[in-house]
Amino acid sequence: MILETKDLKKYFPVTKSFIERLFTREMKYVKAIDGVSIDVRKGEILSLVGESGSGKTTLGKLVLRLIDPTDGRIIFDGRDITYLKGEELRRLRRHMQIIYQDPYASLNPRMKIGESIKDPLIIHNIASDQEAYKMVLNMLEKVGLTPSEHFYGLYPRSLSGGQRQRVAIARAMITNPKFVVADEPVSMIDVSLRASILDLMLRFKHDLHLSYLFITHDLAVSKYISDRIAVMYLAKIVELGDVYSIFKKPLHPYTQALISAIPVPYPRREKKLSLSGEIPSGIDIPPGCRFHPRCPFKMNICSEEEPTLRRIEEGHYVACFLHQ
Amino acid sequence: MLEIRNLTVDYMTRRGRIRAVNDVSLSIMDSEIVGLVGESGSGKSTLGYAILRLVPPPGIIKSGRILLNGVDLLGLSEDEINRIRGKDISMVLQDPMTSLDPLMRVGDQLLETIVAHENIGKEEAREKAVKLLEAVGIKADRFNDYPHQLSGGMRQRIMIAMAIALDPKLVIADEPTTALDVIVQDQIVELFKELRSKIGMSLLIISHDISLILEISDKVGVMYGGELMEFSPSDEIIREPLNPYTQELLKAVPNIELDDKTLKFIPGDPPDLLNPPMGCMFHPRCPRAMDICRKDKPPTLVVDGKHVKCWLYSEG
Repeated sequence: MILETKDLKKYFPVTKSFIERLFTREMKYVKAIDGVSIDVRKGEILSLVGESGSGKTTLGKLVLRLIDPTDGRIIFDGRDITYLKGEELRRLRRHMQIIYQDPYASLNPRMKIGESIKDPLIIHNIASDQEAYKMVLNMLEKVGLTPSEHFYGLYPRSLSGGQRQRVAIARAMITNPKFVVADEPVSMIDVSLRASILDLMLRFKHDLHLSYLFITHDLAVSKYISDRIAVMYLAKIVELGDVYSIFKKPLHPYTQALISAIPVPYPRREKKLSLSGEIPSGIDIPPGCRFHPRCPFKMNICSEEEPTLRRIEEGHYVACFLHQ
Repeated sequence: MLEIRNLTVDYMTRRGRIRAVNDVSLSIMDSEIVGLVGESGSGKSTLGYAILRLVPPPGIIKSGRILLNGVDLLGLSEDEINRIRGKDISMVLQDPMTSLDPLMRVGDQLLETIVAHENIGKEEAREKAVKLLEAVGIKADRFNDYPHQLSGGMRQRIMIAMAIALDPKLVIADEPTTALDVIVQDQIVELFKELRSKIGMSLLIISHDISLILEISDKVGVMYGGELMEFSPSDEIIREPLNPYTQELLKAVPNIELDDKTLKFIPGDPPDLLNPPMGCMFHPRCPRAMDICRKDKPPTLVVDGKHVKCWLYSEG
């Protein structure tokens, strides 16, 4: 196990206007993460799939300790890092990295890409300047930006989106991390190049034996890359299983709807399940099962009690009263 | 109904001329859904804007004809094209948050569209606005909401209501679902299909997502580097894509229906339109490139009613 969260929570206070504050004492919160327990095994890719507003990006930031949790525990490589601070936290950072969605925003436009990639090596005192230079050239070759000396001196503006994302990956991998959060790494990349970026990430997983938390809204991409998939809905995990069982036997109605909503050109199939409405905000989470207002199979119990994540078969968990 | 003939659009940038749309011809029939698919920089959006003569500067329509029921839109005066916009041809854009006025109630925005073009009383216009909201699946009690009170999907529904308000013959939708989640995207796709069969409008839908385009469209145009590589019925493109770019693109799309986990990518990068390659735009990345592809632009050929721009089919 490289990473584990135990009943992790993150509530963001809702800011109120001055007048509102005069009249009410009660604080309101957006529950972005509301009790999530997941584990990422060594050498595994766990996909976190959900719509915008499900809390998947917040979870990614929490496990990297980029934001502080409200409650719960984060265990990294056998060590509780929930309250780690200062120098200790800084030293941890070289082992956990992040790849962002937008390669246009995540690179410093005024820095040569070679310097951008080298930066973490200097910050973490991993190598001297000269050694670092060699490591960067080596890394540029690994991510397919050759001739590496040429690319070292380029600025991000002269690279295409796909090339920039390669730089972002190189920057994440240069410190030899054990765990990487990839937050929608291919959703801004042209379709014809997506597979090349995914393949590159798979190659690093294999070579460095590292683990990914792969955040995406695209189930089709997660099918291609992951070992297991966790489906999030409104701040909670509603289903968790290996790729095969999620696609062959999706149990939660929300997972079924997600799969059924993916456009598929061939064979033209009947839509199995369509949902009405949209994901509600984290301020007003429905009582009982948070999915019940949109669920086509809702029963009486669904609006009264909240289902918990239960094991249905080996490695396959679902939070739904249809299966308890 | 709409016929585009040899359309060429250039952007005159400071760094040089970019030919965003290069000699593209295609046609859209009555109540037909035509999809235009391509990656960023392929010229698909520029083509959509060019139909309404809304190409943003420094873009200019260099040559070609755009015939709406026989009338060349490029020959019209500003006043005349303004009357076409919204009334005969309307647009739905990608981001409904930036295309709606944040300070105006959504119902009033809809009313404004109707009153500006139609000579009817306020009561009648209001009745029509409520009917339109219902047609796109929004309850009448949302009439007085401001855009920020609506979700992304509902805002896009409002944009669609505005686009169909004046019973246009053609709606151009530029990446209408790209800002939306997959479940909401599915709802909007169903809405478009429903509207097409109910009011019989034609739809030109532009997207980078070939799965989406193939699912919704009757005919599909595949664009690459400003050129129309293939234009055929969707079923034909699914059954037998002719252009190697279309073939490779389809292999790069994950298909959740298949157990096969392999996914291919197209090596290389999209063309730099400031220095486009000689010959066929796709030849540097094409697995089947021949000598002639590196020298001369392929002609557009008609093979069994399918249009394809590729040297592979020049003898047949």
